[in-house]
Amino acid sequence: MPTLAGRIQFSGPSTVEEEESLHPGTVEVPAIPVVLRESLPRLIPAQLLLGSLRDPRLRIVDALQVVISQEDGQIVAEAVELNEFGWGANLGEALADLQRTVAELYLQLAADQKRLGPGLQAVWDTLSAKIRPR
Amino acid sequence: MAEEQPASRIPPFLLGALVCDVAATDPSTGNGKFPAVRPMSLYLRLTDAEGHYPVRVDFVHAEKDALIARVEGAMDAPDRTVSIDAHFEFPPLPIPEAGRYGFRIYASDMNLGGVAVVARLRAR
Repeated sequence: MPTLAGRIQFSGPSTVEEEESLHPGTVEVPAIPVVLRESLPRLIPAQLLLGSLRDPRLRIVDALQVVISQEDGQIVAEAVELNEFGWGANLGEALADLQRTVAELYLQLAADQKRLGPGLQAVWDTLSAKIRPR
Repeated sequence: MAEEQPASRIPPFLLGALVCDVAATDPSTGNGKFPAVRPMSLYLRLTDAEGHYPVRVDFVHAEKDALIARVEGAMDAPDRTVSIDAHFEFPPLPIPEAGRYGFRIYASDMNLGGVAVVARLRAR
């Protein structure tokens, strides 16, 4: 049986190209930056930085630290500074669940911030330092 | 030797991500099959970025969290108020089986989101 690697056709250094930006930013891509793998290793990092909530109303201004673990066959993503969790069958689902949870928490606390007790006020202080409305 | 620039910690905002590929049917069989390979390219538009960012895009089998391919580069953004367009053209990427795949996008090791790709056989 042919391996996956045997099916890959490389076209040399031009396999990845950077298009000139229409805007002042620049993106540089090295000549041969693509690493194609014959085996498919699982890619579940122990931790990552979350820079997006996938919510057009909100943006993260200081990345959330997320610890990834596995429990009962599920992936668990924990925003350690907020003690909030996301669950899923894979990393993408767990992160999406966490993003939804954090966005809902932010919007709820933002609406109630005049009536927060000390515990929720501390959560709001952390949230409002890391997340801003767009 | 060029001095390594510090990575910016300002999370860019991913305005949009699109996967472009070529829709085609295997002429030898008239139908698709797995494993397959597909050329794909990824278009990104970012804003709220400022400074130097190492950029990484992982193409993964989402259901298995399996890394299939990775592209790494760098981005320099002078001003947070502008948007930046980037286009990554991948070589033919292996699709071992039907299922959900995706591109996961990182800047300065910050996960900015991604875009999903569903691979399935076309109904005859």
